[in-house]
Amino acid sequence: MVMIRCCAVMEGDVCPVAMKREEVILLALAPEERVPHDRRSCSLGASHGKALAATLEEHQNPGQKQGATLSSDCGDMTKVILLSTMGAIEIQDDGEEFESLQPMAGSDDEGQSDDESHTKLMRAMQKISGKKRKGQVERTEPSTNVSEFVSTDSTVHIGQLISALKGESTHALVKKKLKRVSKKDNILDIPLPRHEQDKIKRKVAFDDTKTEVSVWEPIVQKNRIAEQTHFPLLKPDLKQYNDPKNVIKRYAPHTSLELEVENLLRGSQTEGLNEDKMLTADEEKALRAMSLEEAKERRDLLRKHRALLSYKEAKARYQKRIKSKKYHRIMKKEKQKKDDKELEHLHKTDPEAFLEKLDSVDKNRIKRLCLQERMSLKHRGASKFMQKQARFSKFDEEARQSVQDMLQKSRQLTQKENVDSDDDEEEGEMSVEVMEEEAQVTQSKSNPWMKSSVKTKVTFTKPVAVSEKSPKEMTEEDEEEKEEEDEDEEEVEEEEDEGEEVGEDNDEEEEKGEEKEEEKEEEEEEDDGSALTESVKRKQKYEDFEGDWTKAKEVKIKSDVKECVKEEVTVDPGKFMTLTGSLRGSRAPTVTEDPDQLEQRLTIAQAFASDDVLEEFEQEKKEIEDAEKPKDIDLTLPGWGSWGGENVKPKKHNKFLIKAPPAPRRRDSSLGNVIINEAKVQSIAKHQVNRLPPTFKNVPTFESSIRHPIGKTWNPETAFQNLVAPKVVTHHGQVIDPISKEATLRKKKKMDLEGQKSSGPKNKKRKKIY
Amino acid sequence: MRKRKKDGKGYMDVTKRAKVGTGKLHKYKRGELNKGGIINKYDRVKFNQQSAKYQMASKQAARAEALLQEEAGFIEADEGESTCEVTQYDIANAVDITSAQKFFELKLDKFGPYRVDYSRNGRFMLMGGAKGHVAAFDWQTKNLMCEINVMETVKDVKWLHQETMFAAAQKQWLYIYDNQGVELHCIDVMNNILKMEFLPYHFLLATSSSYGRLTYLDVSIGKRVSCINTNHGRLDVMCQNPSNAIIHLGHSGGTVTLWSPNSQKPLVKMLCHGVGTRAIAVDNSGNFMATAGIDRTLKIWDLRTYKALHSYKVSAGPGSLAFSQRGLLAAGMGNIVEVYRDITKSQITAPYMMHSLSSPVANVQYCPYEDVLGVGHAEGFSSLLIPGSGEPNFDALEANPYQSKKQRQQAEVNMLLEKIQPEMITLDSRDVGKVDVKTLQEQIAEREKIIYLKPEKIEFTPRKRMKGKSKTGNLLRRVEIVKGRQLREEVQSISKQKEKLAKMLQAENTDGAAEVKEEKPFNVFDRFKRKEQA
Repeated sequence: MVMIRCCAVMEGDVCPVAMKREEVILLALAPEERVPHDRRSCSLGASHGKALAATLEEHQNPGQKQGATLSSDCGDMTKVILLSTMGAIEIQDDGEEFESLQPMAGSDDEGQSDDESHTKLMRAMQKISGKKRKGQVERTEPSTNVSEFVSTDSTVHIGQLISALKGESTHALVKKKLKRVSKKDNILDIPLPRHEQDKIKRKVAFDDTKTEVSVWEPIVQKNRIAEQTHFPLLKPDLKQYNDPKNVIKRYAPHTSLELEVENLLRGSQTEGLNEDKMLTADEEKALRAMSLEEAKERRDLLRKHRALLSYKEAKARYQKRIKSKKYHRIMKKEKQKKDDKELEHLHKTDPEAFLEKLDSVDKNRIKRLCLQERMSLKHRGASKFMQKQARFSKFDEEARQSVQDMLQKSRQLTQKENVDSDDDEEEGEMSVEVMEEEAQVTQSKSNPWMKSSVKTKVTFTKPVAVSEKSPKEMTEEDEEEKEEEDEDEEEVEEEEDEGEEVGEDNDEEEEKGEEKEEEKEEEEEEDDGSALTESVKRKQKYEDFEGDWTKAKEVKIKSDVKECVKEEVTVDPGKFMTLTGSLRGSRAPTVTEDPDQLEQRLTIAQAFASDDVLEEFEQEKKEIEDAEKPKDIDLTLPGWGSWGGENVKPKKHNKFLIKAPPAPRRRDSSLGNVIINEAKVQSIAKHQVNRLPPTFKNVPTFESSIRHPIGKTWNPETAFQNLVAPKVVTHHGQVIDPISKEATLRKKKKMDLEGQKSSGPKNKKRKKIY
Repeated sequence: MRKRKKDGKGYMDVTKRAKVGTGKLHKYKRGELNKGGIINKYDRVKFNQQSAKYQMASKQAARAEALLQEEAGFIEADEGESTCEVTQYDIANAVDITSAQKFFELKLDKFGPYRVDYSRNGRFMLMGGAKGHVAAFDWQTKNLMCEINVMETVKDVKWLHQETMFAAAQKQWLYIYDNQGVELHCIDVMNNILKMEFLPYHFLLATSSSYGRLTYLDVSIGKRVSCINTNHGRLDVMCQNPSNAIIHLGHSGGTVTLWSPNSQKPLVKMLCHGVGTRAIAVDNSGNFMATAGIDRTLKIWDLRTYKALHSYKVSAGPGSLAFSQRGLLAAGMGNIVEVYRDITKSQITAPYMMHSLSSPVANVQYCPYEDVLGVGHAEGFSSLLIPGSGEPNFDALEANPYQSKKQRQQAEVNMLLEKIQPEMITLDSRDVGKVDVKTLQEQIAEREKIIYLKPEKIEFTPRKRMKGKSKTGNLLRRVEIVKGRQLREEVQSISKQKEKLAKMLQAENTDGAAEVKEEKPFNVFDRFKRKEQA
């Protein structure tokens, strides 16, 4: 079989489409007009007298080399001569072609023409092999000899081809076949090229796989995001295992002993293990034993009790709600009477119990009074009477006395019971507060550091002294202290009166103080020997001073100090040398290291006048700053573009000057007394990260991701375990099966269903996580 | 499980954890959380998970503070009294017998003035008299470990990482002894040393010499790590910042310089006094520095801003300063030792405690984990009780005062394993956790350069040749040839660079650690090469 395929048709060339041994060669004609008529014409002969058909093809693949010409014996139409220019026709099997062409020709009975056709063919082949190609000949003059196949149309229709066969009955079969061919619905589409087919196949396969795989997507995502994954992923279903029925089955008696026990139990009345019934035989028996009447009676009794109880409760609640004082007073009196009666009764019958009772009643009363006093502060200034008396107490001695009395009473009332120790008698009228404080002091005596918690109002002597002194001395001391306390109180009052005046004086005093301090410094600088004694004197004055100050003033001074400090912190190097504070109570050394040496040092110090030091430092800083600044690059060649000579200054050429970028701001630019080395530390750079991992796109985020050390040294054990928890946990000896589609997806479906049933927000939450 | 609360306010869920106060939490937080800039959803979820873990860890740490049972307390004065009037004898009389024993005095008037040093766990004490007397002992039991006379001037003594070894700066060289007093090393590359500081986490012994040289010796490998010529003359004022291992030096011009072994120039230079600096001390947090000048001033500095906070005129220039673990500042001036409380927090008006000695103070040093201040002076040593100075809760993994021999050995191994390299010493100790932004920017710039690389324009003027070879056509052809060749070469090199970069980027995206292998064209002789084993 010979197949000749035409790659393309072009510019007036004729193209054979396909040729089979006994079938048709289809030709196409290109529509170009400049093609000469004789060349355009084409015809085909069919072998074995079979049909000839030609379809037209539109020309595809325009290319220089492509094209085929085919000419034939037009009249006869039985012979086919194939002429083709090179490259246009692909001959699939060279050898076969000629073999098949020959019999094709030979099947017609003319031997001569056979030879002839062969020679023609050979010639044509020679032409093909020859490289020279004829230039296209254009028709320049009108001629009558025009091929019958030429139409004015650029396309050739089947009808035109068939018209050649008009009126000839011999070609009926051919006609029929052509008609069949011309029916379009019978024609199959040309199959798509293979690569297109493959493409479609691939796409379909991809889609299929995608739907199949996408089922896994959420599971994979979940597993990737999970902080820890335990394998095997699917836990064995324990529901079945833990089902009560199954559990009971597991406990069925097996051994002979168990069976025996089982039988015994089955036989007993009390422990009837009957699964169907709720009650055991014994219980049923008991139920049956009680008659209906009895049960009713009992129930009624219970009901009665309950009613009584609720009635009582309601009454009590009601009584509690009554606000009338009178009512309560009456009630109280009644109660009192009742109690008295009881007491009398007790007195007669049981004297011991009576005494006990009396004691408890008394205690209760005292407690109540104490509480009342503490709540109302009746004797401590809350009552109007007290307030009035206090107001007059300045002028009226009686009033003062009455105030004292009331205070005394209040103390007595609020005195705690546990204070009634042996010491109490000796100390006499010592106030309760003082007592309390002392108690605390004695407590904390064992641990002197803990004294901070005790906030004493009254000044005490040292704890050691307290323990050493005899009780007598102590009482004396206490009395003194008390007097002092009284005095203090008076002072407070006075101060309150004079408060305004003091406030006015404050400013003046401050100014004086500042002046004095300044003077002090000056003097110290002048002579050191006298300064020591001076400071001691001053100190005393200072303390005296401080003693008079009220609190308000202290606050003021403190704020002043703060301001001073702030000023000092500012940049100005001139200011940082100034002094702010001096220390009270600091003692000058009596023995120095080596007096001569110290003196020597001081003279050295004086030699270094502070101004010089400052200037030097500033100079140094400036030098360093200048050295580290990026410098301009001067590209001028010396001597070029300028005049030389003695009094000629070299010209500055700005166009040859490359200006350096402005220096970045130094860290010490605002600090007058500090030089910070700005050079990059190369040694640490080795250990630093200089390339961000692809996950991170900015530096602070990456830094915050590595900010926490992960190690036992820096973390508590639990945190450490959490930080280094493995991503995957497997159990030794446990088989890990590959993930099963059925189980996993079923589970997921179930979960989804549950989620839908339960609530919406849950679902939303889950979505957020992914 | 529910339990009724006593105040009757309602029910408190016992199963829930107690809330942690924000103040406490802040202490254990390591910087602020910074979100944003994470594009990938998955990465964002992972980042959030991790930061939740961090938060939980800091919460747990804050909670664990409840386990610190010991409390620190100070002496509180009554009204009208001041704490500085309380004498050592008062305290010793008041406290329990074990604490009272910690107040003692050693009279050693022949070899004075003494310098003292406590071991890191506060258990052992080392003292070196200027006239050669060196002794080490357990100061609580008064158990003597060794006592020698080196027959030379001793300038300074320092314990090394543990109580098994100590260094003594002698007249000429530095010596290292073990706790039996046996000389282990004589380090002759470090001479004329005046002061020493030991950096325990780095195993570095920093020394300052009278020639103005600051030298770092790594005692774990016995190597001199760095030697810096400070050009500041005699260096006899020195202290370390315990939080970042920076060495502070004080100079005669009133300046203080900050040094690390990685830089030949000072990291910071501060002018603190108008006259010479006599003593420096840095507190445990590393935020505050106290300096004393010859002009009898005492100044407190904030090391975060390098600004002065307070300034005091004291009765004499303090010759030695020391901060306790809880921030009490001790100053030895003349024969008086004064202790200041809350001096870094506010302006104070009076010292917290005061003690006068019989002879001038040479050295003050607080004992860690004890309320004790050791004072070395010309006539011996006194141990003073300063309530509230020491940290009451010790971390046994950090420094254990009660450690056994086995524990000590184990601790030594751990210390060596956790040793920090000297390159890591920087002003900000958190630098390691920071990104090297400068290099990062440079790299990005370089990459962008490659991405947008274009072949440059070629200018070529052909040489004139004689004998009609320089016809215009010929010339042009020659130019074309040369230009074409150059262009080809350049384009090739650019594309190679771009390929390399693309590969690198790809490798980065897939695995940050993966290195890019350069592919070489196959050579004929490569067939004889050994196959690489996977």
